[in-house]
Amino acid sequence: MRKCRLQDHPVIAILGLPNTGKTQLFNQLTQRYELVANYPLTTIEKNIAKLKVANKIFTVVDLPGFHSFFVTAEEEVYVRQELTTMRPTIIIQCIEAQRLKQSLSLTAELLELGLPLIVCLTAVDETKRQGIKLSSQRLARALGVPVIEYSALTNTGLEALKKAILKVGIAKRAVRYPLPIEKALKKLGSMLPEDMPFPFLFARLLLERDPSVWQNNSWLAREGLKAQLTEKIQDFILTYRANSNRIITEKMGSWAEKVAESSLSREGQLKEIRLQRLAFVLRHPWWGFLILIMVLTIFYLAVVGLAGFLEDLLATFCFDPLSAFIKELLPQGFWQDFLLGEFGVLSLGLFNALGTILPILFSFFLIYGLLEDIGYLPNLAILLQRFLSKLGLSGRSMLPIVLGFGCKTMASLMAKTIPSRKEKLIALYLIAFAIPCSAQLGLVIATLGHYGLLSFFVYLAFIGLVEVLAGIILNRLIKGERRADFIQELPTLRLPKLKALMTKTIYRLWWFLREALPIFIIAAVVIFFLNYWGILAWLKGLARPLVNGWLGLPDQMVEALLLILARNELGAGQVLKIAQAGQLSWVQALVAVSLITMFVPCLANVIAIIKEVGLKTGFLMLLAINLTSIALAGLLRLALSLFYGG
Amino acid sequence: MHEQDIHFHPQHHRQHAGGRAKEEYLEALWTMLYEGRASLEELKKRLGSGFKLGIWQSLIMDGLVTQGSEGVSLDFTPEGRQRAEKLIRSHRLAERLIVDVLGGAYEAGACEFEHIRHEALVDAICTLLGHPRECPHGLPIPPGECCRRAANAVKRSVIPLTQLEVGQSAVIAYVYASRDGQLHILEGLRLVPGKVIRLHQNRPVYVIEIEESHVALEETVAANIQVWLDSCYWEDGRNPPSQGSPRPRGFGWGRRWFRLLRRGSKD
Repeated sequence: MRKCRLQDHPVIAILGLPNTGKTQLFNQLTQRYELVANYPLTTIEKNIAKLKVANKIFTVVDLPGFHSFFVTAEEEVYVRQELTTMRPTIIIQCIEAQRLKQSLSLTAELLELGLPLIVCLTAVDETKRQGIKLSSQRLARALGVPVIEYSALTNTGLEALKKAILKVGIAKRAVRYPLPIEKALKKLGSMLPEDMPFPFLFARLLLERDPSVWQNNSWLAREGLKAQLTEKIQDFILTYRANSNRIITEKMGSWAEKVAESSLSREGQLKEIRLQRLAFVLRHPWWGFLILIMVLTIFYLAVVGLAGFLEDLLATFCFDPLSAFIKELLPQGFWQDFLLGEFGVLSLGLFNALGTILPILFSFFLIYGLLEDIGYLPNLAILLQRFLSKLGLSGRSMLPIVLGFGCKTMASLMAKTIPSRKEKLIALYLIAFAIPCSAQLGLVIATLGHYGLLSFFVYLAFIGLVEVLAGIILNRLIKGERRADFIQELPTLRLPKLKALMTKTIYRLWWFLREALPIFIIAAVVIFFLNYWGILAWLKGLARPLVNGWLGLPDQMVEALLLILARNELGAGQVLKIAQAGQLSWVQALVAVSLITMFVPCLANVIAIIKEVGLKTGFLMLLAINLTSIALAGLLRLALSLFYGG
Repeated sequence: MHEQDIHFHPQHHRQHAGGRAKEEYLEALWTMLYEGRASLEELKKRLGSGFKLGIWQSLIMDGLVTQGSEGVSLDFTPEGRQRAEKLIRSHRLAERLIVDVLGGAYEAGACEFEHIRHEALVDAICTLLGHPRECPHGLPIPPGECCRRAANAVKRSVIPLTQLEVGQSAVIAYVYASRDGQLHILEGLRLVPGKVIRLHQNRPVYVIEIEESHVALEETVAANIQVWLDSCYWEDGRNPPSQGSPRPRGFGWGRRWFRLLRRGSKD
């Protein structure tokens, strides 16, 4: 599905600043679903799909958001390289109507590519609410390209966009630079190889001395070209007595300002939306924390209440009758055991996934998706940075860590974009270590639901503490500089839309099932035979000093720890089952959930880490994570037993 | 001030005949060294047809510059460097004056001094010139606040964003980027001179509002954004904080919350 080949059809690339609704448009245009949320860099890798417009087939590519072709972060190199290799025939730029001025500098750059450009205005309704009127006709005239007003809510503008795709012509450059710069650009452009895409853009980047232009650029790597180009650029610098980079950005900026002013008009006084005031409260040191505690409590109540209700519902009307029916059908013995025994393929695999874990994930994803769509997470990142700046992390690393609560793998991929190596390592470690991902957190809440709200906050305090400690230690251990020049636009707070939220939740569940269900069933089969042949009992005996002695947990935890190796949720589900059976005390439950939070990150996360830092460092990190997780869980038991007597 | 040193000491020029021309050479060399390459050949390129070897050699004789063998690795002597730095400084400050004060497009020659919006800056210039009462053509200059107070020292007219108080708005005067790539981002966010920003919070990162969007900045970036001191204002009409009397401490959150509520009920 993802292997849709790029070369087959003309390519339409969707570009724009971060968080401007590119993936939303992609989803609507191609009738596919990729994750959308209200924070920058939701899309980290490109999404590809086919689109048929009036018998013509196109390949639509949705790329991560970026600010400018002059590279300041890794994801921007990625976008530029993708563009040069895929050589799109049409470019669609998504512009959030509210951030028109901020987007037009990028438009100026896109106009320099010499390709057909369509501007797609998203979230137009929001500007109306703010008392700003945006005339798309005037904007289209100023830019010389088609401008489509698109609303994801009402799904209008899609037909107009398709029409525009069929007849859009090549766009013309809009910004003129001072004559010496123009001359130099022309000269440099003529020196570039004939088959190089976007010669004007690359000439400009060369003149602006973007160092990343030379990276992996096969065209510029040609014999002697680099020397010639550098010579020419040096000549230019000698004779042109100004910082060309500043002149160029200023020209673009003032052009953007002029175009925006010509197409925007204020209707009366600007109304500051109340939601933005809420954003301020979310980041406030006291109120922000109060809200965070409220949010966490809502999480707890929703997962415990809603998931419990759904689970009961499913059990009563679906899985219990089904099990009873199968039990009646099959005689007691191997096959019944194989299907419905303690480690049965159905009981531990299929029914477990659908009947227990799915309701929990549903409740969790619902609330998490709500927070994502409101735009809470970037604000939370800023709130938490107050504490985590002590850990040698700059603002750049906070969002990936906070997003680790959604999916550690995605968060690790995002952490890749952190420019400083030291910060990247710390962030990757902290994400993998004690941040519970959505599935884990959901199951942890469900488990602790049997022990009351207090246990949940004790758990959070514990993982918060170990994260901070790990951060401080890593900050000491890893050498390198933190690079503190972070600039991040915060997303507009939005009221979430129920339909979009449900779609997202259901897709997340579907992705979970697609990925995890086979593993659940295979793991059930494996552990069934381990038990059948008595290997499990032997393993339990082997692990007893550790599990019983150090951690103070019952024997069944060995199964949970084995299952974690297959899939995190499976192990967490096992802990939930043990807790439901009433075999864990308050302290034991806390130790168990803390352990599974820290112990072995999921396979996808491990792969993401190793890809980024290499086999050796990755292996070291995993070893450290696992050893410290067992040590810390034991310490937690000791500490808690002091107060509660284990 | 340095500019005065240069412009108000004519004997400085008289000592060296052809001072103006020599200064051109010093400026050119300074820029070349800043760019990292300096050879006689490039000096020729830079100065074009006006290049005369004699002037260069006289600079060497004066002990202002040094030259390696075969016209490469040109450099300053300590004295020469000091001279060149002063020249560059006054040159660029003059440019700043023309662009910022006299209304921008100096290439076009359209300088419009009367359109300066920042009174503090006008006052600063007035104080610098000793509160003159007549223009060069003999017409009267209306006295400003600074003349009435007969201020003697020039007050600083820009402060970094980091010195703003939470909730204050101000007009951006200068924006500096620590890396070239940052310019594009700052420009994209419209963090450019002349724009009004409002500081929403200053810890742990700075959050500012600009052009209806909220941007989080790290302290190093915020310190590179300079605003006009005179333009600082509170949105609710309070006066800018007078220097010396600190704002009341404590209950900041309560006051802010109260203000939020009050403003919330108005619209």
